[in-house]
Amino acid sequence: MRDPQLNPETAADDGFRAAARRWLAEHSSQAPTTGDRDELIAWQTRLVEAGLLGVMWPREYGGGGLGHREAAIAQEEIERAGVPGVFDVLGMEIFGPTFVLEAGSEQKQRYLPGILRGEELWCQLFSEPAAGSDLAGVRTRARHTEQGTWVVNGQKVWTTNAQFASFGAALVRTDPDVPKHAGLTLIVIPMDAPGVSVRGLRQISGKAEFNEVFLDDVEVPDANVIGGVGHGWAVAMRALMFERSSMALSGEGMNLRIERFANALRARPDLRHDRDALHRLGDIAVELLAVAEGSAQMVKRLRDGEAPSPAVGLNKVTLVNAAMRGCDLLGELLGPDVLAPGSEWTEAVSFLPGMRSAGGTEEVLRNNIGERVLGLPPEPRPDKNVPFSSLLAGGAA
Amino acid sequence: MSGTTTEAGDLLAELRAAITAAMSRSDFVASAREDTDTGVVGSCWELARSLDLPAALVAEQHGGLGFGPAEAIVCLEECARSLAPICLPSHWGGLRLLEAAGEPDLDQLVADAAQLAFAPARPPVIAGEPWLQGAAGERAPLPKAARRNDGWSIDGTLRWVAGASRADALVLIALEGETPTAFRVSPGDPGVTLTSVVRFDHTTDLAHVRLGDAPATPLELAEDELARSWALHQAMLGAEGIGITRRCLEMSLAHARERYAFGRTIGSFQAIKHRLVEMLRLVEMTENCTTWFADAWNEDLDDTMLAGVAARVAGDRAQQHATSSNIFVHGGMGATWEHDAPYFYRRFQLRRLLALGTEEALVELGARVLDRSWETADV
Repeated sequence: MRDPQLNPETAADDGFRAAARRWLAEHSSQAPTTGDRDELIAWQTRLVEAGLLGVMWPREYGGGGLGHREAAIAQEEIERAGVPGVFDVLGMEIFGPTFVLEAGSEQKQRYLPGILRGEELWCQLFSEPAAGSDLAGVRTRARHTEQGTWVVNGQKVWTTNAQFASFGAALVRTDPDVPKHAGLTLIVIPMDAPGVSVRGLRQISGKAEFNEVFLDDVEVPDANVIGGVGHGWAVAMRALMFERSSMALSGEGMNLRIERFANALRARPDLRHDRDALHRLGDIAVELLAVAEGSAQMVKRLRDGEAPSPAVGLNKVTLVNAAMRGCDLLGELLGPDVLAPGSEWTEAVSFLPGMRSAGGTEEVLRNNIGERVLGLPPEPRPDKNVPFSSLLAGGAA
Repeated sequence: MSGTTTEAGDLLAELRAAITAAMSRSDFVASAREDTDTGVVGSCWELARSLDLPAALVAEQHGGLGFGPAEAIVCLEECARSLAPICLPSHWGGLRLLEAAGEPDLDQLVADAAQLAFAPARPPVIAGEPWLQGAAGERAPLPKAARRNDGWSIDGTLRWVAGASRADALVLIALEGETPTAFRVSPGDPGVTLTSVVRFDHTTDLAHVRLGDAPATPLELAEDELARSWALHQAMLGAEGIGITRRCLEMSLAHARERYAFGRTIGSFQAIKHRLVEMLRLVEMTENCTTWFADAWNEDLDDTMLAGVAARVAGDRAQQHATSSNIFVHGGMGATWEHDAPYFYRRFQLRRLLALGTEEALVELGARVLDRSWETADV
């Protein structure tokens, strides 16, 4: 059998890769090794300046102006060098790319360079206490004033980085008298505006990695509307598409590779002869290996300009469920010390149940993929073609 | 190097279309139904021969198509999707070892489209464990090889060898002392007894092979090559699993979009939809593993071994869910003789038990993952 000749690269790719590798070889020793936020942001900025991040962003806003292939190669080289990459995922991977496609030129000029320079962090003001998977049910209300401003009232939740962010991209209801998806608008909220308050939200671990954000009579100008009034759903969907592909590609970042579970099991050398334990490890390994390989292959396909399929959402489902079973297995084989305070596994056991719902619950993801990828008919939707204000949820708001 | 991923992908897509078109001229599900009735095991060897499939993996200078693992995987997927009654992993596994050993009559075997059968054997994955072969529940030892005056002879039993009852030559691994060695055996020779067996699936030719002082020709192969033959066999089983799962998903989807109950198509119910999405999830996982295998082949032995067993486990998982869910989605009618779904189910019920079986593959996968961790720690 001859060698497989898949994924060959052109000479131009080789040149870009060589340059990326050279820069990383020279500078990797300066990369931060702790979780210090300021250091991580500064390092992200250096990667942007070196042309290794923001690769596809337009040059006029400080990006590299290159294509998918170069972006993927840069990402591969950053991973290969074992250094941190993007810190501000919300700005760099979700809203920056969304604004490139959806924002007006003045808005791009205002927001994109700040993201690339690491000077302005972003947060996502989408989810609400009563609108999670059913995101189009948001109740945060923006009312237009005679002065050409919007006054925003409501509450957002599960907001990463809200306490550090300069801006939040808020999905708000501007017209409750049309069907739910049609009455939404995306508005940029300066997080230091009067009326914005941020409260840490403690999770299973006891730590507060997310926030609640309260918006009380927050006034923002018309210029802060992205993509037009009433078009918020399309802009939000664009952002969620970037979020899902970012999550699918960051399985490595979550450090839930099978190697990590196997390394922990070395605490018991006898397990190498324990057929039952090996069987159970194999059961988890197949899922985590398949996801890791799937991500690596997806990077190659993105390099060739292929759009990620909505089915990438299944990677998260596989990853989270397999990792939860992996934690169960570690507990059963290594005992209660797995749950000791400060143990890396305590952290995993704590954050995984929440991850299952992040970016949409598993059930809603499966519905989505069943409809969009497999072409199955949707569930009957009594909320689709009626004004939001006449729905039970909308009316109660 | 020439071309891009996309061009390589286009070539594979063309290959896939060609195999699918050729296979679609036969209704192998109908044949399986008929064969199940009459008790025979089907064969599509002549069709495979007309497509040059038997020698697809052999180098072009020996009369083959020179396919690599990526192309082999496509062929296996499409043959399995049509439920073709053929045991290509067994045939290809045997022929590949003959080619690797430089057997002088290879070109003739290719020209004659001779059928080979390979009895796959697993190298030790747990310290102190011997090479193993056979079906689930057996963990049988390898036959013994001994020198005799004019050559070699083999003693032992190989049970549940796919493709063996129609084979013109058998390829097996036997122990010469402690050393595993591949041998070639002629089914017609004295000392070789073949007993055909039929178990539930009439698309899989099976036989028990008894070797009593049977004459054999050793194949000059490194032990790594024998290990790779196991990985390749498992990866090929994974590829067949992709075809079976994809077909079950297609059948289920068609039904779920059309069947009307409780005022709407049943595919709109989450309970059905999620079952079908699970088929998609499992088959895509298997595809990730077979692609990984194709990339690792010729690159890295450890990765090849790991990817091979991962593909097998993933493919079996996918079929486990898909072949039974396909019946459930079709309700009572899916469980009848007239429906197509049971023939995919029957095939998987048997095939999951061959080559040591799925559960033993999970043990192997766990052992390989843990070993790799220890090796990293030892460096």
